[in-house]
Amino acid sequence: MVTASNSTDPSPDNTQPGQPFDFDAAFREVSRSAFLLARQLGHGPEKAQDIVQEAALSAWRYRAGRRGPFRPWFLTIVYRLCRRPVLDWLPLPAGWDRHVPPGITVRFDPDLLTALHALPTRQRAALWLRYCEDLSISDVARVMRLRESAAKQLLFRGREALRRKLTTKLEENQ
Amino acid sequence: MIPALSSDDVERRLSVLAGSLSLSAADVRAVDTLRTLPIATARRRPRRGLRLAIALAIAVVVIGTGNLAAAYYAPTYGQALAAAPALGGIARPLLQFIGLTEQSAVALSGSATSSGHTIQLVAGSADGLRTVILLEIDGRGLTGKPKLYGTHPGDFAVVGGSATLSDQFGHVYRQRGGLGPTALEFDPLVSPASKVGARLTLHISGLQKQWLLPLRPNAPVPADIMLGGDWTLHATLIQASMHDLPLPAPVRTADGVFSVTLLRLTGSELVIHWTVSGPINDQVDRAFYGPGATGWTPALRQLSQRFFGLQIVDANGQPPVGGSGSGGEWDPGLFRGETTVTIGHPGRYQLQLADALSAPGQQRWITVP
Repeated sequence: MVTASNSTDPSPDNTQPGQPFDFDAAFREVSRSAFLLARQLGHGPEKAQDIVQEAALSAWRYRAGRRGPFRPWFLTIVYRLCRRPVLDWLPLPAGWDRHVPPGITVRFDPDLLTALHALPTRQRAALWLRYCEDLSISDVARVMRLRESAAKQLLFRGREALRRKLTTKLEENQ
Repeated sequence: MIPALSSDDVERRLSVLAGSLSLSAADVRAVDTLRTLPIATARRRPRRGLRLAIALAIAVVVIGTGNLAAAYYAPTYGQALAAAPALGGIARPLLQFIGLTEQSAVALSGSATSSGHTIQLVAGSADGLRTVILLEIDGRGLTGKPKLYGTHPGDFAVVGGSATLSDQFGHVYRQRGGLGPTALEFDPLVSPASKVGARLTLHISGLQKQWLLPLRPNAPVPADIMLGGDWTLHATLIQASMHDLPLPAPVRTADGVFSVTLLRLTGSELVIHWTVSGPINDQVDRAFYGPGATGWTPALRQLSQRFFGLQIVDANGQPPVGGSGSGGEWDPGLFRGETTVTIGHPGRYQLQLADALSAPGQQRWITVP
């Protein structure tokens, strides 16, 4: 099981609103996570970088209104920007569904990553935030703008879908 | 018989997934760029009162020191670029890729050397949309075949996010995504520099050895790929004339209201902003913001093609000479679109605000001077 979010972490991420705060340091700590989240939500490297930069500028602009730790707050902005429906170019491109563009692989357990990428975007995002970014369920709910019960349900459905896909893969390999 | 996977198995495997991630070279570059992005320092601005005081002080100095200072702070006044050398030597495909022509860019000069490498300013362009600086590193970067640059030892690139651009009034311009290894794009000039001309200071703090970038996606990036330094260069740019054209009346149908909100002409580039509001957005809202959001479906794609695209043709029904780029995004209840076209000649142009608006009376005409 994943442990609860690291509440004793002395990093800038844990700085509460109103306290002296090094924005750049906090952003540096979360930038990789934010980038990977954008990648998992179906954006290529350049677009993901643009999204995180845009999120950083928004975060800097609205930093006074931050509630709670920096990390989930910033990931919320990134998630919202990633999920914003965007018409990139006209005429419309064929690939409107945001599957994860290639580029990210794993050294171990590639079947798991393949199965994860085949999940619907919201399930994929919830699982990624919970297990790969180690966020608590309440933070996952906050990032995805859900109630905790809805986040739990989404995670459950995602795990079940993943389990079925992995089992099917195992059977195919036999 | 295969033992069934348990939910705990899945959780356990998921929790170690992040530890074995392997990123492509492009991903590594992006993450590195983000890590060095100086958000707070780049965005930090003097307070309003302080800015006012600085502006007043500058005004006093300008008046007090007469024409010399005026010519410095207002390059248009001194016609500083009147004798600028002609632009040449830059590969035409590169200029086209960047979206510049030999007419729209001006030649720049000046160089700085640090860490044994020389960066030379070559050309620049400023319009109401962006500020572009083209440079050479050790005499390379703008000539030859652009696609081959970066494949030979000695082909350096400016590290993304390591360049800062500021004007004589202290405004710092945000660097946008790189146009190329030696082509930098920044936000457009702001007033007063956009009005009187900008004396710009470009500071670069890092170069990247492009030829060491691994070609294979998962290959490790060498540790010594970055080269730190301190290059400061000065350039003078005058923003191309820009003016807003009168907006046509919106088109109202039962499906929604189609409005043009901006028509901005910069040189030969026309930027059109438009919005679509009304019931036609409901389906998009439901698909993306409602409970059980479905995302894009074939029916929704078809709808977007019919209602969320703008076409422009001249009086003879021909499209503008330059390729057009379009984009847009939805907020709940509202679509905002943006199209940029290169206008070949002045005259009347017809706007069709969506494919579905083909009935007589639903097109709009604009006049480009």
